[in-house]
Amino acid sequence: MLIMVLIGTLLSACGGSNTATNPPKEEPTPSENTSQTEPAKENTTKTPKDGGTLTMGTFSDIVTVNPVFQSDTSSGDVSKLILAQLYNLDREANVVAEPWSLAAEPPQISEDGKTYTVKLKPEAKWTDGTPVTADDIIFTINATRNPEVGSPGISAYDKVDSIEKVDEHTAKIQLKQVYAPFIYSLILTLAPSHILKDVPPKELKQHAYGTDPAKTVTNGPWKWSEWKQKQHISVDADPNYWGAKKPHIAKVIYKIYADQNTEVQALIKGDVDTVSAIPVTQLAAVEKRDNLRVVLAPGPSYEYLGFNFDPKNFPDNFSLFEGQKTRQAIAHALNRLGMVDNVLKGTGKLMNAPFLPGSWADPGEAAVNYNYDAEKAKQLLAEDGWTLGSDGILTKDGKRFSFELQYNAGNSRREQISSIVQQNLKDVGIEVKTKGIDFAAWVDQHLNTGKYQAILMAWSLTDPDPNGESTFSSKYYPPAGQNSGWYKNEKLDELWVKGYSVVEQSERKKIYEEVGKEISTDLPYIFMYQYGTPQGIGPRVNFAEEDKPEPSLAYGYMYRMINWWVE
Amino acid sequence: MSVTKLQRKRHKPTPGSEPKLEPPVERLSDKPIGIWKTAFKKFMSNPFAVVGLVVLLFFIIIALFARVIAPFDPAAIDLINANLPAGSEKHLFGTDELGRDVLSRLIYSSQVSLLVGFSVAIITVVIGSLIGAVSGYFGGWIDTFFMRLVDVMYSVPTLFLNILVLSIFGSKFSYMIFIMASTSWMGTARLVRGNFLQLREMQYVEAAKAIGVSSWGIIGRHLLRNTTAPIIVSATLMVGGAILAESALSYLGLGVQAPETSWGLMLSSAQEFMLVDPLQAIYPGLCILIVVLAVNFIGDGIRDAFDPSKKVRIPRRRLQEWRKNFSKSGI
Amino acid sequence: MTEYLIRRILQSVLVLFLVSIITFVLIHAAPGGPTQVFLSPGLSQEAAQIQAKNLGLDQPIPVQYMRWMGSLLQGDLGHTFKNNLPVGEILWPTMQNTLILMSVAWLFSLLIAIPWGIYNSTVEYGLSDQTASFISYLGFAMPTFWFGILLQELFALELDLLPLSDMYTMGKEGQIGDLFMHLILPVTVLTLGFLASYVKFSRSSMLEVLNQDYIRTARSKGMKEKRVIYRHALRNAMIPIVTILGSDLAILVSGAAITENVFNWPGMGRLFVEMALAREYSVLMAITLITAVIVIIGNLLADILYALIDPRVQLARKGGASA
Repeated sequence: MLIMVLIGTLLSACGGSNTATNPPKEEPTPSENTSQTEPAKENTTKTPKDGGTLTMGTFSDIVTVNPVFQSDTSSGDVSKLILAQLYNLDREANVVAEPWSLAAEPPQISEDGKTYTVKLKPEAKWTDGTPVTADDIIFTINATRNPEVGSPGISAYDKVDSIEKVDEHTAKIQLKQVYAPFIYSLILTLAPSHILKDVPPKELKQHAYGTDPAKTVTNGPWKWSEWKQKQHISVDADPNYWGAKKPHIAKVIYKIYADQNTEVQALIKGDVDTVSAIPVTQLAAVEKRDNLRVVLAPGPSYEYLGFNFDPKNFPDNFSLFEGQKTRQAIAHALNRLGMVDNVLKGTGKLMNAPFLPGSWADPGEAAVNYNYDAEKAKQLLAEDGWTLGSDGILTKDGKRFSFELQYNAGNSRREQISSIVQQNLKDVGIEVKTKGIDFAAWVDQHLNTGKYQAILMAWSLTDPDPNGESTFSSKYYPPAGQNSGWYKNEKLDELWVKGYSVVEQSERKKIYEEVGKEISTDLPYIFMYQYGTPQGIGPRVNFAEEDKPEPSLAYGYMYRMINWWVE
Repeated sequence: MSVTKLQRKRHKPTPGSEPKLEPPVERLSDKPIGIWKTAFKKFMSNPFAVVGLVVLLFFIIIALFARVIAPFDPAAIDLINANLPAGSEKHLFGTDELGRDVLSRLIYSSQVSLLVGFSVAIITVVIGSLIGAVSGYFGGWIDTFFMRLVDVMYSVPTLFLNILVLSIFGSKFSYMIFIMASTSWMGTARLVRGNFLQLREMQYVEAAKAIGVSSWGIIGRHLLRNTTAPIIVSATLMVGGAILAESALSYLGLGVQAPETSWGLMLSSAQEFMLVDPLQAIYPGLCILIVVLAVNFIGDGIRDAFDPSKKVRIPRRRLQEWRKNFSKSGI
Repeated sequence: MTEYLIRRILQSVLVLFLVSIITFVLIHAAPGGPTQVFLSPGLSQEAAQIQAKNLGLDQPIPVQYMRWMGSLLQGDLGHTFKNNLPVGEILWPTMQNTLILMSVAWLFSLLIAIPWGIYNSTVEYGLSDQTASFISYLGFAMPTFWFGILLQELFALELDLLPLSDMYTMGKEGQIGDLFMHLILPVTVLTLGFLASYVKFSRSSMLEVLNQDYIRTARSKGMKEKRVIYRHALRNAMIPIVTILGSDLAILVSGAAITENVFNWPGMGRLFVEMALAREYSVLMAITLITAVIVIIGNLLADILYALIDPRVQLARKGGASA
């Protein structure tokens, strides 16, 4: 299952796994959107130097690096340093076995698409000298899918039927059904079975593995040396690292700031070397400094205006968004291009369906594009029975077209977008009351319960698979599911299932084209744009052209960091 | 005795609260009308207080007539004219990152900031006076109960309580006013209670009781009226405190939420603006500073006006002697 | 004295108990409660129930409270929801950091404020007095975070003289010199706030004493001015000052939430804000309770000091309406 994530002020992130490997024939090239602004120094010709310290900035502390429980971005960042992944994604989002991956070769998928065989590198070992074995894979996946354990990544493995050990370094995973996105669930980090196998499932969460550096054996290029809570995490290059390619950077410090603003100030001051998310409002200030580089490109996330289809959320149980034409009118009324140009400043790209532009599943022309056209919007609204009231607001059956648009407070980009939405819709006679709510409270009280009228939100796609069943299917209503707007479309419900029940990518592409067409016509959301967070890089950081950050991938701001060096 | 002791002890350097050495109230209570008149005269002869009053009135007028005064709709987005510097044609103070007119936003913000300040102060005073009056007048277990409640409220830092409630229940405007008021009534309650403890022993209260005036009648008509001056002082200072508290909460993202706007909210992105356009971080800060200063000047002015001890002046000659001695001893 | 002490201590325990109940109920009355918070949306109902049960969140609130109280009495502050860290382990270091910041700021302001205030009382409305008055008005009217940000912009970013934020430069942990540099800006911000009240306060308490009858008597007896001030006035003026310090003790642990956020100081105030947003209820409970304990001890100390210094106060007086 595709794991999606709410992007909030705290950038909460994805489930434990993310990577995949369908070796796709046609090359999707997400990097073509990548416009790298690199004023000043061009370091790519220099030779790498060993040693030195790299400081990364962040604005939230880690929670745990235990792969079974890790779910937030900060913990994910640190995991990537100290734990090798079973597979990695290459720049084009293919699942591959890199020299630093635990797997020796790409996974073998059986004819019927239900069995995945994974082979480990025999030389891979943990910091305590124990080899990484098939047991670790089996333990990690079984623990994650055991409800007693309480792993946030549980849904990633709900299609797994059984896992068996073929030999010391080979594991075979049997699925209950054909489920194409599963390949991306193999981009996981492993928990050490030899340490954790005897812990009762219930107590796994209490175990110090993942929170106490001394008790956390790892298998990545760096090993975890210190966690000073709310201040920093430091990792040191592991002298006994098993990989043929060793890291250049001797020490990486992951420094925690109170918020994004202090983080950016620290980048400017030179206290940190890289910051993964510069607020767009501060972009100009960072770009002004000659010694800083900014990586600007759309990332693996998209923003949307989500409607609620549950009439209980509206006065008199009168759902304002019932009419398809009404939703289409709203799509026409919004100046999405203006938002991309003026607010996102080069980090955004328009989209019309929940598939990242440029990815293999992107339906392109097949999806309906709604250009900015207020007249068209007015016409559609009139066709749907809305008439202009005396106060300039549309009415239907005596009900005013006025709704509350919620978003998370403190996110300056979303705040700006919500103001633009408000004004755009006012122009066609719809009253929008925008409302910012603190992220945690918002999730608790509105998203998890499905109680709101409309929301401005984003999904972060932590793996590149296009499957979106868990966000749009009526199987996933709140509180358990992520379809918080109570959207129901039987045709789509079926199409999503069809989409993951074949492995062949060209077949899937056709299905997602159909999904794209249907969803962009019916509009459970107004799909606004794909966007990214600008990464800022200080003058000390160096990397070869092939190792540069890849903004289109999750965690792309530390893409191939093993090859980076500092001066 | 017990009253003054309390007030000294209770002093905390929270914004707006000042070391108060309250006038012994007996002296106030004997001839209210004359006192009010002299107090007014005294107040008007205090230049700081008068300036404060003028400034505050100025801001109140701006807030009341924001619609008329503001050159632009504060929410009107104009992406083409975003981030204009101050002094641009049409936009005196420039525009923000969405092209909204900064001056208009400042003007409209005054509405919310003053609303927060005054409503918190009023609610605080109402709650505080009621609790203080009831405690002081009835005494006994009612008093014990409320005073323990005061102790409880005092032992958790106000800011922590505010953060806790707003982050858990969500930062609605009404919640904010409510929680700010319910964490700051204790000072007023103690003050009123203290005065009541003294006042209720006085003869005219006995007299009122004797002629059959009800307890509430006595509280309302006689006692509260005689504690008006200190209440007004603490309410005035509270206005400034509330405006500052709102800005702090907004800085943490828990105060007023967009699209509402307040000086605190405008300032909350000060750290952001510092890098982009420092002036945008200066204006709202200055507005807060000026208004809170004005309010505090007024509060002090009122207090001095009612404080008879102000008449006492130490002779100059003696002051000079002291000063000599102090400079010798190297302080 | 003993009787009074015992009664005051009992009162304090009662107040603490009430604080714990009120905060516990407040936190658990939140819509959704703690249960919703840490359960990720992907979790099925069934899995969510198992987790709630494992954590004891399916119990009624009074039961949960008793459990929490029970372990608290055994010195266990609980664990975080998200990663099961012992709360104490997170809390104590931040408390230490806050103490360092606040005590430096506090002592520094006292060293300036008390002599200055006393001096000002002798030259009422002189230049020095006006300056102090100006500063204290400023201190009361300036949003602290704004002042902090202005200082950062000027001294750290523009002039590049001082560190921007944090407690230590990375790799220089524990070095006093480095700590000192990092302290300058936040201490300046906090000092302005402290000065605002302390200068005024020491000035007015001195003034009050100077106007007392016994001082006049001393003077009229022909005692030397210096002796009047040092022997009598100063000593008596210290009484209210000392007591205010006792009740301000609480500020040492709680007073800097905003400043800590601006300067990224790893203290308890910043922790509180972060944990409130992350809904780590056990940490919030612990911080609230610890500050309450300190506030109450501070007040108790203030009362005792007050009694010791000022023999005129009779401790056994009825209705010691303070905690």
